[in-house]
Amino acid sequence: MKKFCIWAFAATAAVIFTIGCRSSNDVTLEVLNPRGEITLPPVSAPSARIADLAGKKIGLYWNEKPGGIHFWNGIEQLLKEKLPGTTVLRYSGAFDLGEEFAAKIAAETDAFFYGVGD
Amino acid sequence: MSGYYRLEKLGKPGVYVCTDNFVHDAESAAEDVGMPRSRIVTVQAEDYYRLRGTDAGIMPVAEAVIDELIDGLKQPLTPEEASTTAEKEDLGPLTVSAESYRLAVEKFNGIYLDNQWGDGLTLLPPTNEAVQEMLKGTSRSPDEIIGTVAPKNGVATIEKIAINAVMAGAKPEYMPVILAAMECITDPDYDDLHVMTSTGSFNFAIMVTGPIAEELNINAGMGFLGYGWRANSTIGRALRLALINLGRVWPGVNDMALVGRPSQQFYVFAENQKFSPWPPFHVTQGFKPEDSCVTVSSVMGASSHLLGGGAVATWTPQEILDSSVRMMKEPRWGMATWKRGSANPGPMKYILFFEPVLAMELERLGHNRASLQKYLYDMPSFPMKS
Repeated sequence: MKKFCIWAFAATAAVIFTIGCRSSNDVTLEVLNPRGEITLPPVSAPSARIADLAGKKIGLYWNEKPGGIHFWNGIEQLLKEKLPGTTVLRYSGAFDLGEEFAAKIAAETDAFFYGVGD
Repeated sequence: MSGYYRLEKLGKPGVYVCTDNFVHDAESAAEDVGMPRSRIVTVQAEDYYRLRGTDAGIMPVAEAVIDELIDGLKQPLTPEEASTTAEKEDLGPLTVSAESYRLAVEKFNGIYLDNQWGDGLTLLPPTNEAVQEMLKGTSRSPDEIIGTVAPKNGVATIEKIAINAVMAGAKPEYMPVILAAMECITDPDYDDLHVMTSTGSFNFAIMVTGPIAEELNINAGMGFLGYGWRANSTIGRALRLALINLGRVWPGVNDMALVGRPSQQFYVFAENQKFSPWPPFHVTQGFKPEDSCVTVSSVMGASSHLLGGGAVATWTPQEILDSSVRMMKEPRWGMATWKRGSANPGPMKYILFFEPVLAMELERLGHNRASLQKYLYDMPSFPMKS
């Protein structure tokens, strides 16, 4: 009788355990990833900074939309006040200035600020 | 950001300047060009936009950031900024388990929508079985690459497009239309980057012409730009999801459409050949009548212009044409900016839908598609100096 009780108890526990396991993982979906592979270009660090801007040429690039003109006028004025002797050069063009224009600006300046938008 | 990157790569230290509501866009673009730790300084949008009208007005905004801008050129790069390590991404399948199918689908949706892999509506699970079924809609190889999708140039394979089509609830037989539209969007000569990311709330119009339109029951009649047709809706949704997931585009991060992109499932429609007095559009482009074609165009956000009819007034064909000319003439001032080669990427183009009765009346008056195109091209012209 004792053996029977142990057996019955074990069997009941096994059934409860099985039901418990089944109810926690009844359905499994394997779903595919919808994202496309992207190949980002190799990561580059920004250029080394310039500790002393005295006497340097700073370019201001804007994409010519009317909304930013006054802001950049203000930046130009403040740069001249805060960094006497610094030359400020203004440039404008498309969102992306392109290879040729970039080479021209790089040849004419030591550092730059770049803004596009409205 | 690409211009900023060019100058940095030429050895010039720089600072990229934007309003704070565009900082995620700038960071995303910096990642795209390969300089994820670019120097970015933001100005407060709420001050910038209301004060930018005059030199004096905007000066406090400039004063607020000038020291940070100068520091951006002077302060040495931190070890993190100087690092060139890149993170890797796992694009393998995901496993979702739950006590019932309903809960598993709910869990899957939670993961995908939280990851910004959806459009906000409930998605269907792209199981391998469902994707294989979708791929039966095309004879093309699942591995075939048809192009890359802006802004992050994600690779668009047939299989990835099929995965997104499953999630959208499309039928396998829609695949030829979905793939043709994706070929148009990823065409190197088509500026999908601008349409998908500009602050202008543009969108895609996708026109299906030829026999397949009727075979797939793509609505070409009443309500053709609206809801109710599975083909129109799910072809558009499949494309939207493909662009989100392949191009990695997201509102406020790198899709900067200010009011969003009305019709999140694009504008998918068919040409109404049953009532059209003119040959199918694709025939005018050199295709045979029995060919089936997809044409993709960018369109502006939704707005309504009353050109006649309804409760407004009776109309004649000429009055409708006159109203159309007036509507097209007004925004042509933008041509001046385009001619200088700056912000505007090109002159405005138009898609005109003619209600069948009007089209038939114009035909009776001697017009055809070509003559109407010429008339509507010539009439809104005005001298450049104006």
